[in-house]
Amino acid sequence: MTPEPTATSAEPTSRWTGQAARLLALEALLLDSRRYEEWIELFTEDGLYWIPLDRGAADAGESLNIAFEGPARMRQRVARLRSGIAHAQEPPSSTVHAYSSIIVTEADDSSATVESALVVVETRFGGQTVVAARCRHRLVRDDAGAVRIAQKRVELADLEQAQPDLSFVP
Amino acid sequence: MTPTFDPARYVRPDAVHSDAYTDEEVFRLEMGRIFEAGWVYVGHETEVPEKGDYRTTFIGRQPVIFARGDDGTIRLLLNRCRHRGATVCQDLAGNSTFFRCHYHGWTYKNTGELAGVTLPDGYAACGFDVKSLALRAAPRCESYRGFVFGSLAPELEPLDEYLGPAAGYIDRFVDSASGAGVQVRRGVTHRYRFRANWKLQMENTVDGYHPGFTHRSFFDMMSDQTGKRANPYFKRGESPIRSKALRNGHAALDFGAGRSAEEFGDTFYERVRNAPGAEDIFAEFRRELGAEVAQKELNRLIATGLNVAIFPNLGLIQSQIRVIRPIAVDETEVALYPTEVVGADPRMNYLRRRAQEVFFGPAGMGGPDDVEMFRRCQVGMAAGAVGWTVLARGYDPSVEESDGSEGDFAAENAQRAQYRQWVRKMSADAGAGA
Ligand code: FES
Ligand SMILES: [Fe+2]
Repeated sequence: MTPEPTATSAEPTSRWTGQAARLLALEALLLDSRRYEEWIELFTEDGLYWIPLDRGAADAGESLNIAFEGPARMRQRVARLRSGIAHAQEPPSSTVHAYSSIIVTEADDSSATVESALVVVETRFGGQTVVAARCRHRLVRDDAGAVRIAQKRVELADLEQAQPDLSFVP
Repeated sequence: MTPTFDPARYVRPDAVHSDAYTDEEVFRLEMGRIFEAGWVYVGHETEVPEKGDYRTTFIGRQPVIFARGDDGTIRLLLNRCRHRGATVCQDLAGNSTFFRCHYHGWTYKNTGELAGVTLPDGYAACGFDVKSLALRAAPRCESYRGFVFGSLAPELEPLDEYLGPAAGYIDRFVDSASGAGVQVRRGVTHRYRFRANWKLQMENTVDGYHPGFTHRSFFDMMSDQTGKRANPYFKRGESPIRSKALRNGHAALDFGAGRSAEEFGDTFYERVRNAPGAEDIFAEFRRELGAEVAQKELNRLIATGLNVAIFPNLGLIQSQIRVIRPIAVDETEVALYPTEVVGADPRMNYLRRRAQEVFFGPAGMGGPDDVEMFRRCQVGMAAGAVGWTVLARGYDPSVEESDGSEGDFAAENAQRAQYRQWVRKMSADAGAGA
């Protein structure tokens, strides 16, 4: 991975930069307004949502994860969150997701890798929890030009330490 | 220490007083009398397989290096430089020949022995043998089937005796999957922290009363997924589970042979079905073993039908090793170590990890609901005017309850046994844990 776009990829990279920023902003909006069903629609049908426990793990399946799932499980997760008896989220947390330092690190016409910094402030019963992470999105563009998330990897800054309750993660 | 501390003020045969969960003085005594003067679980031998391997941890409040020395022996070295007290090991886990204190440069071997002192001439006149200052090791360190326990107090029954009949449940946990045993891969662990007393997690590990309520949303999800009733485990009159007290405060929820009954929706097979790659593995197993055998085998190997709580800090649940670390009277850290079946098909261990992820961990679909209940208990118990909680399910005051008692799935006999042990430990001779 080279942080600086190479000459050959300069054109697709610049095309992706604006789209990636818009997509991440949309993701944050959907999550913070608990529009989870729409959020899942941002993923490809074989997409992957991955929160590893093993820093730098290349293969999610070989390790243990905080989350490792595709849209089928994500839909179940959301249905459970909506059940009214997912107690850790009754009442639900309110969150603010802030993506920043967004950079396209690899790109061709149909796909791109986007690195970003994510800070989530979660609050419930007056307590505030800050969750900081590095994110890597793998984005794809279909023939119609729509951009989707093929993989979202969230590497928590303090993943070697005990985590607070993360049940707000949809 | 309060010389007049009376554990009976906090525990009745069928109730615990909320002060036991909220009083800082009680917590301080628990650390001294239970965690720092009795057997506590530290780690699994397979986490430190090679000479020089170590993982840092705690016994009660005291920092410890769980280390295999160059002589092949596992020790629990107190992580404190003998000079002026700095920790000598900063990493969660690793491999090292030496532990070096970087304050003034004293260096210890991985056996604890002091290998060298910097500027040694300065100690020539002081009249003591600097070389005698090895890292202090916990005076007792014994293991059962790979499970390593330590004690900071030297005078204690052998570990085998302490475990008693609970050892048979450890055997079942170790042997159920394949007979070749289980192993822990160092360094990858679900770990969460919450603002509630450690005993809430201890009780919960063998609480068959709560799942039907606390985890109802999970079972509903499994019903929706399969179109079947989730399971009969937490229904009165239908549950095959027995709640067993096992002496010395250990206890088990024993699911018997019924954990993988295929007519119900909440099998381990179904729990992992929606994980990435699971359907492909299922298909391979069906091809290799035939559909019916494949499903039964998968259910059997993914996780054991057993919840075991070894007093005070160890739990064995499904395929995980659960370790409780009290931080403060209202703060606790819990680590969940996934186990792998030794020598098993890697696909099986893949599915065991998936089975842990779906329910447990800080963003699992089950564990956080338990943690939420601990939080609510801690907040609720601030209503100290109420005083006593109720632990009376299945309790008959006309019979003195034995430490081998057995009850139905929702009996609270397991928790009553835990608190009888708590009273025994907390009643230790004045002086212990001061
Ligand atoms: S405190 Fe360790 S060398 Fe001084
Ligand atoms: Fe539970």
